[in-house]
Amino acid sequence: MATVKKTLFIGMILIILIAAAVVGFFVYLDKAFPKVRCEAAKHPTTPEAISDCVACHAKVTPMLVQDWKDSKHGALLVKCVVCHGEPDGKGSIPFAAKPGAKEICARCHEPAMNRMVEKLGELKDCETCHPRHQNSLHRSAFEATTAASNTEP
Amino acid sequence: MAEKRRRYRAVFLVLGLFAVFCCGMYALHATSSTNFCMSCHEMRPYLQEQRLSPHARDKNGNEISCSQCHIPQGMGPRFLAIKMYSGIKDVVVHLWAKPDRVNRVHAQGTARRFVDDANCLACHEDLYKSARNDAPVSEYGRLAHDAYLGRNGNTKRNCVGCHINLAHLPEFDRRLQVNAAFASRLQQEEVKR
Repeated sequence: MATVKKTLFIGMILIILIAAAVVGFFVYLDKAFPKVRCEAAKHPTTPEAISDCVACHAKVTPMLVQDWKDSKHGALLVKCVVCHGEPDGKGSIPFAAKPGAKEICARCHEPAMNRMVEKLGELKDCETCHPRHQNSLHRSAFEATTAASNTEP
Repeated sequence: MAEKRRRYRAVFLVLGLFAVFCCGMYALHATSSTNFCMSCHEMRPYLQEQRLSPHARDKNGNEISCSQCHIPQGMGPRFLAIKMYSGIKDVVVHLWAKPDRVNRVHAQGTARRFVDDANCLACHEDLYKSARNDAPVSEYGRLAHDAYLGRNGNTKRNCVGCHINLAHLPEFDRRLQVNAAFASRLQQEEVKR
């Protein structure tokens, strides 16, 4: 009877130790190699700074900001928050690095999207054909479409 | 007699532990080689891409191995953690998933997460010089690297968080203008085969 109890006790301790090691491993992995790096950075949430994305992002992601400035969205001053939401997450648009195409794009582009569906059938998302920051709204792809040397085969 | 047996036991224990340690070190070394990576057929396309990429060879003309980017260098906890995680993940995907039909959008996320900045900085020492180390970086590059180094703003991205399609180029990124040269090299290779 005593030996059974002893084996059970040792078994329990072993299971707890193994579980602790596994949990510890993943905690370490998450600390050493964070999954999401950008959103881990502090976004200001004060009323003066909350929608002034460009103030910081012109330094942190200058290419992206320049692409936006040169794009149709930039020319029409469609600001970041219109698609990406505000960093405190309290606005009507959820804060997201990759906005959901169907909900967010459709807010303005619904008529065009409906025509696309009529023509091509139900589409999975917008991103497959109009990649995030490289689409026709942004400079690099705009140049690509106008340049004589098109990369498409 | 009992003392002699005890001494034998201690010697065997030490020898055994030493053997296990040696085997472990050899295994860690051997499983980090490009040849070992290529022993699974699903890894071949990635080598094919890398061999035609700007990251095929380092500045001395030596071939760059998979582990030089994908595994942290040294023998520290970062190295061991990645060896363990990637090793188990690769075996699980090879045996129970469909390794030829990996969704590369998801695979890129995992791969980028585990490319250590130190591996990039081992060759690209000066972040204000171009990749070939012969000219200053562009204005965008200078601003972004200022932010990376915490001199002007800050960013928590790692190197490959911004620098994508360096050594591998999935089908869906080949149409982008910046990848034109790399894409045409890949296409020529595919025509040849």
